[in-house]
Amino acid sequence: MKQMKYDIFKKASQFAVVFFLCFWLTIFIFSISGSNIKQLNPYDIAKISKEFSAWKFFTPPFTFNLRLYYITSDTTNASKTDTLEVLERIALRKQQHAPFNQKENIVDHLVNNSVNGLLRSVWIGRKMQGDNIPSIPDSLFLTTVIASAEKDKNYLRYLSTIKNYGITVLKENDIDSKNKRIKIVISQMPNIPFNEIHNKKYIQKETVIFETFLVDPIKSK
Amino acid sequence: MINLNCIVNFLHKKNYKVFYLAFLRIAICIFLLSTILMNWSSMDTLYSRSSFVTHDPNLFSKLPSGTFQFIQQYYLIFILTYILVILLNFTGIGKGFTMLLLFLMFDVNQKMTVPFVIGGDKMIGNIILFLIFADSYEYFSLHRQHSIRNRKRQLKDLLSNLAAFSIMLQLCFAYFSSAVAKLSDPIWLNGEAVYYALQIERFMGTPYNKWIAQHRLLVVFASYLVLLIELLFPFLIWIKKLRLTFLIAGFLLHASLYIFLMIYGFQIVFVLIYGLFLPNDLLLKYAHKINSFFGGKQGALTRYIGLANNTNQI
Repeated sequence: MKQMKYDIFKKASQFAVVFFLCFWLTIFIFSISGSNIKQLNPYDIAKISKEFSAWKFFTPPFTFNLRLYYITSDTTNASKTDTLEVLERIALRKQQHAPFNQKENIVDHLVNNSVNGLLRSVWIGRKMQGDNIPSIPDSLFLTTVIASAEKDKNYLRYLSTIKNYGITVLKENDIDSKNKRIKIVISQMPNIPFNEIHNKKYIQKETVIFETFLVDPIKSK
Repeated sequence: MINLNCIVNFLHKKNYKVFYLAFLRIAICIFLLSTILMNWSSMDTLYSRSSFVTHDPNLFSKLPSGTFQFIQQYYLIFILTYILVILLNFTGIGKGFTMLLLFLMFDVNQKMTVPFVIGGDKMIGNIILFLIFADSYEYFSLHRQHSIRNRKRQLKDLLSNLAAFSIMLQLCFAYFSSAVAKLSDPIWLNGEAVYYALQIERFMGTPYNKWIAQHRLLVVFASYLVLLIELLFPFLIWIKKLRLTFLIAGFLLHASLYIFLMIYGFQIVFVLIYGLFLPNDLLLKYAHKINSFFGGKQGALTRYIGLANNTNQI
């Protein structure tokens, strides 16, 4: 009996060590191979390994800042419009309250996560306008790209969050959402390229990369 | 050829990280509690149905339908239960079972707040997962058993050592996989990454970011230094003579990210793991010194910490 107990503990110990070695060896293989090994994906090993090995830390870093605009239009008077930019404002608030900026940090993550998710849904695997597609005007190209993403569930979810946040923004700016329709515009403001740091004449050109039609500011879930 | 019995015998010998595993447990508990406290004024935004965030309805696909909506509706009860589980872990009550509960609740909490989950949360989740297997209750525990060295104790020590080693490896893999990703990124290879990182408005921690970004040599040097630390840390940290150098370099790297990029929790979690690379005896020596400094000899706090009459004292 005592011998049997001894054997069980010994086997359990050996099993734990073998499991440990196999586990970390797999993670190591996934770490050095990046995404190239995804085709060898038996039993979701790739997914599990990703949990332990997929760390990138600003790789690649963003080379631009994003802008999110809510453009409101009065249904009774089309010429009455307001334009509210929020991402830069959120970033400024976060900077002002640092290091005690958790409240601003939460809003920053929630909004930016949705904006980046939305842009991923629309632009992943696609070339931006102006990149070797000279035959199509930019505005038409943008409309076509957005239309093709409209059935994607993630796209709809991210867009819904951004629309909902628009209602909060209207409230914060004392704009009555009654008789109002909003248009969402996301643009990219590229940073000055590294080799142009000291070029004072360099002009940063803002590019619209997403826009909606005018929609009603109604909260959706 | 690896001799399995040799490894098993070595790991059976004792729990080599007995003090820091316990410290890491309570540090994680304090971190989670402080996060809840800091998030308190934004609870509605994070959890409630009135939030502007539209969640993925398939988040809890493995649980009965409606679970997500149920937690959303009674999120305060969820948070209070979560706090209770954290406190139980802090006091060491329930040991591995409570740690398992914490892991599950942490996972649910992450799913509830998916858009707000950051790298530090992912690391905490992995630490808690490994701590389930570790005996981290010799210190910082209301109830501890000084069991005799039998087979069961040996197995516990082996699992604790593997858990501690796993957390250390997890840190190394985080750096290593990040370095591998950077090595295939032209921005990092050209030494321009820090320049662009400092220009990201939502991470602009100080007014000096823009000023630093204007100095080409400085940002190129910083970019390559980050790459070098991430690439070498996972290998050289195991060499005793270089350990302190890399711990200091890593600490400075995280301190810089904390200050200049306003990424707070993430850095704290990573630096917390560093203690596992220090020898148990050294940590105990400092723990006794700190305890004596605060006049603790046989008080309740000293008993909770486990420095009084502990068999593992130096």
